[in-house]
Amino acid sequence: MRGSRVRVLEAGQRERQRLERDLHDGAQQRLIALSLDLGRLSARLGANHEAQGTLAKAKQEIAQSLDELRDVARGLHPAVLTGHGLPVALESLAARAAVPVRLTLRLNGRLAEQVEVAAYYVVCESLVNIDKHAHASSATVDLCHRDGQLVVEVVDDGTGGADTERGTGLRGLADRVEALGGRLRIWTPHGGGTRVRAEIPCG
Amino acid sequence: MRVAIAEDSVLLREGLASLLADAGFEVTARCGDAEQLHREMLVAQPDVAILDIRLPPTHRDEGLRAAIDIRARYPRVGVLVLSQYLEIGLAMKLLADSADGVGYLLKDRISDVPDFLAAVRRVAVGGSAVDPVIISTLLAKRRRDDPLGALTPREREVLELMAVGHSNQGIADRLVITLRAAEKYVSSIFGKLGIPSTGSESRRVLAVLLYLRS
Repeated sequence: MRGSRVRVLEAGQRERQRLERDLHDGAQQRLIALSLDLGRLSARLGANHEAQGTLAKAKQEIAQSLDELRDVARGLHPAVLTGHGLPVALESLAARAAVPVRLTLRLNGRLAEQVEVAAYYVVCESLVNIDKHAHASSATVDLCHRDGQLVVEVVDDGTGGADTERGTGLRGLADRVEALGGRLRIWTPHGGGTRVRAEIPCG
Repeated sequence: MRVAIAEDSVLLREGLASLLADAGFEVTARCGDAEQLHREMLVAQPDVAILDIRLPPTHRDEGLRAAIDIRARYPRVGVLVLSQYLEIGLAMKLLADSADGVGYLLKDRISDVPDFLAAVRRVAVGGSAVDPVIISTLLAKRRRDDPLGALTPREREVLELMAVGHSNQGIADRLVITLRAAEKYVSSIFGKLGIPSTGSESRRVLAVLLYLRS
């Protein structure tokens, strides 16, 4: 039973990775090349204000499309994780969070891809929740690989009392972690901040 | 100025080469992967290598490794890394030892021709080019007792320009102020943030990045 859940998860992950790659090498690359052509055109055009205005607008449209495509692609699969591992990927997540995040990693090299992806989403989703709901002023993210387990802990100093049933985010995280034979627990007392802890077996 | 390019999309590689040639650069290597770039480095003798961060065969970290490798083996060659995603984690990794002759920009920036060419030139002569979105993301963080709050709007503008790698003269040109005024803003910012202001322009890029990240 557990084996088949892992396989389903893996197949989904592979498909999303393929889609991200298609976007990256296809539509995104073409739009950048198109924008580059417009940039060259604008450099040659000189001081024709009307034409320059039209070109600038077209370039802006392309920039907007690229931003939207990037969001879609990021949502499909965090390419930075595959390419550069958890430390780099988590540093980026921490930097993008609205509050200061202290990151502590005790890892020895790369882990199985499914484990890395699960850990990444636990941190990503937790930080999003902190930004949206926790009214926190800071957070900590700790990852520790020990005794065949990866322990991921995200703690904030916000208001606590998070509604763990709301939305599909936390349920989805728990499913992902449990499919790998791990467990996800959340402590969120009123007025006492929120602690999300995932334990994922990783051999 | 001589430029080597490593980019696996033919469309972009050729577009980039034409753009640079139009602007008077000499494109001495056009490579589809990092291995080819390594092979051609000695003959191409570039002042700056422009690399896509995702290169064949695996499209994982080949571009980043090549950039770090070139910095180590050819310290006089600048490296400008382009990517479709901006990752602050990667910026820190790329700039970790020194920001001298290092750039990291969103690929889209190549269409802002004058800015992009200025960045290529800066990196080629040992300066830095950090994507402005990295700086604005780091600046957007809510911090308690934030010394950044003590900066005037104008000082904030100057800080952003300084952090992406502009020289004092570059800052003065952009804001249409005198060089002396730019210098005054810079030293006032360093004073307020408590960053030692000695060192080269690229050293202060790293100092500001590290400050903003902490």
